Amino acid sequence: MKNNLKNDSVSEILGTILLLFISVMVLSLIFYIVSSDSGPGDKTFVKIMGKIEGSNLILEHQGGERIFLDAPIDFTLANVEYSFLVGELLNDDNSNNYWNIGERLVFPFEYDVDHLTDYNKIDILAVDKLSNEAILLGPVDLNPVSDLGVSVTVDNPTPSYGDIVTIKIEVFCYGGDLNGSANVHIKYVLPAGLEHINNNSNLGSYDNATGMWIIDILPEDTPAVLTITARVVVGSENEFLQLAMILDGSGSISSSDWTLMRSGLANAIDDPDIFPHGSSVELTIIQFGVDPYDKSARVEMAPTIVTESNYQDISNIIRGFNQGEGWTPMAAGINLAADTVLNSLYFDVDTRQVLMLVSDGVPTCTVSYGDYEGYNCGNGESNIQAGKLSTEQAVQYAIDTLSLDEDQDEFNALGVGDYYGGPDIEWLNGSIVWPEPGYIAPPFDDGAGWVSHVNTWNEFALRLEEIFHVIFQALTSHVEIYDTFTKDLHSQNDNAILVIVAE
Amino acid sequence: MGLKCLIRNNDAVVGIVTTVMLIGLLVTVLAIVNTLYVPNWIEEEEAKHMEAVSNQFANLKFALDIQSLVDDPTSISTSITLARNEIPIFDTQRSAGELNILSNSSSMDIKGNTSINSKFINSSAIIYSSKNTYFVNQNYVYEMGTFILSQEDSNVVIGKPSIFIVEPRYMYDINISITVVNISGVGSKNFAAGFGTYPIYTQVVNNSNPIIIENCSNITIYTTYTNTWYTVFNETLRYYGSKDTDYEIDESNNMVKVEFISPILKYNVFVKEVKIAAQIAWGLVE
Repeated sequence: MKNNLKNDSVSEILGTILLLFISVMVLSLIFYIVSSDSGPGDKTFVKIMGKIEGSNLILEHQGGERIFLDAPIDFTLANVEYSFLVGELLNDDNSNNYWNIGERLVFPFEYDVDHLTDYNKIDILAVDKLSNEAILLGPVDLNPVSDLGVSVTVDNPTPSYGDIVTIKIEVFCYGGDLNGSANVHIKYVLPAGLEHINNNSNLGSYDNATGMWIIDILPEDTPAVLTITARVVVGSENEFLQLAMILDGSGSISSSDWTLMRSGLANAIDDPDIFPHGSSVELTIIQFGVDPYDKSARVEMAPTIVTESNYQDISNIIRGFNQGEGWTPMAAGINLAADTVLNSLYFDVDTRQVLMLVSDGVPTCTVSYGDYEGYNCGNGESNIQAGKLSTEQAVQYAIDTLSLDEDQDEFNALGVGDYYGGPDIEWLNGSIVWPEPGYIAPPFDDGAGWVSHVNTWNEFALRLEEIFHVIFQALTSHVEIYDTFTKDLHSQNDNAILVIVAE
Repeated sequence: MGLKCLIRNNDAVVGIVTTVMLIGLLVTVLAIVNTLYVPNWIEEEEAKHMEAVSNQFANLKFALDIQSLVDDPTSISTSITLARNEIPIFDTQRSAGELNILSNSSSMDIKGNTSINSKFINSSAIIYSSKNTYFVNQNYVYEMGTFILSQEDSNVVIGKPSIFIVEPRYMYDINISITVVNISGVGSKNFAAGFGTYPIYTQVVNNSNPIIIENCSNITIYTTYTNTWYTVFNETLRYYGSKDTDYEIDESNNMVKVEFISPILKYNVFVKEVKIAAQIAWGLVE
């Protein structure tokens, strides 16, 4: 009995020690595992913005955590990989050895003009060393800028029918982010009246059917030149157009000058070499500065198609026009002309419309939008300023009413004399003629939207003859830089106009 | 049971030791979570909250831009959340934020060639300031139409003001259009701090027609955020083709001065001031 008790006690002690050992071992292992946990990995919260300036890639820190200078950053450009550390490219403005908010990292690169189409984007991968996280991953589009310009000339701007002319189109690259451009598409379609014979160019190829000239690579130092040889044939002079003459009948024009105006216009219409008689022109004539109250406008000639059988009647009617001798409600004349042309049986938005203002002075009346009668008439500065504003609105009224299209329609002006300072040519050019921008003519070499000026009414007939030549017989064509691989921020020189007046 | 028997009794030794060790293990786990995990969680929440505030300020700028365009007295409310979401159980250091409409904190002085031909605008700013525990502290600022992020000792433009050039450089007259959103606080509702979401109530007081400062000689911005305004003018002028020889920008303590030095180009400034009353509209709107 004593021996049995002794054995039991030994067994309990051994069991207890064994359990303690197991518990300590298991819990020690768990402790070890728990205490050796270094916690969650660090994360980097930062915003980086990328953009291209010239031939530099700029990465700007836009807030969030600072980045260490030894963080690696890789760029892939045109299939070539470039590896740097942030510190090698960073402008560390505050010299604190971190990439902080507002600080910029600059990666300079160069374009290879011969392989320009590979330069679409830069792929970027930046890794923060602390967190081993990608803080910037993705592409930045390049969109390189290069200024291109185009010009067009012709060896003979006033050829006769049947003559052969040589048109020369030159495209220049003035540089920008890179010294050239690629995939340059220039569009030039010969106008009706010019028959293509042949063409050649030093760069690229021209397709006469589509009018597209495509140049794969255009270096900065070599202009691309395309010469097109064409024959002048009968063409656009038979195209139907609606012509509205808006004549100033104000009191500042003497009766003798009024007679010069009437006869100049009538004589031009009488001459088939100046004014077509083949039913291709519908003529409308408006006079402003007439009754009621000397500040209105009236229709002197309703829309009439000029033919062989009626041109003499028309010129005789013009010779009999009575002068209004009133104020100068210029806007009333323009508004009435727009509505009269609109109400013509032959009005069509696709038909060419030409509006032409003839005046010896500045507007002296205010006219409500779309109205035919002026008010607030006078020669004071305030009357004139308000009159000018009305006239500018009237031009817009005409553009809206007739849905004028700058590719075919036009609003021109002829200023005559210098009485009381004469017409304000600068204002007419800057604010009235259309399409904009206008230009002073002659020469009439920049297409539609011009202002012409003669000093006396004695010169009116001759200038009108020249103007009718341009309106009825000009072969106007446009050349434009249609598309390029590079961006062109200065688009003003991307278009050019060629005017050939066939005699 | 005698004392000897009690001392010699081993029955509870394993249970007690195991319990003690389990408690120790639990405490260790909690300590590790608190010291290693919770700061990360809080930092992540704070970063998310900063992103949310950034979006809310973008909405505020959008609302003010629309109000400055349409010239309508209709009021718009835009909310700003001052603090991050709470982390359950472990969150002992709740971070807060402040929203403030700071009076007359910035101004714009546009000078023409005569003293009459000039314009001075004094404006308040709407500022959110974070009180983060782990993530970097940031200030989001709406000042005279510009949305700014300020952090540590610098700042960047997040939302550009309405400043652009109407005519390109090749014309000798360069017309700069500037719309200044002039914020002014209403009554005493200019400050909020803590944890909630607060609406900012904005209403157009006056939307004036642009005035023209012809042949402008300089534009001076008095502001805390000079880096932002330097960037705004420099980038705008360069984008529209002005060269280093056309203008100079001097950035000094609390001031950015843009001087137009071109002997050829004439810079005309069309400045439109839109006065907008703003209040942090807790409770009734005044």
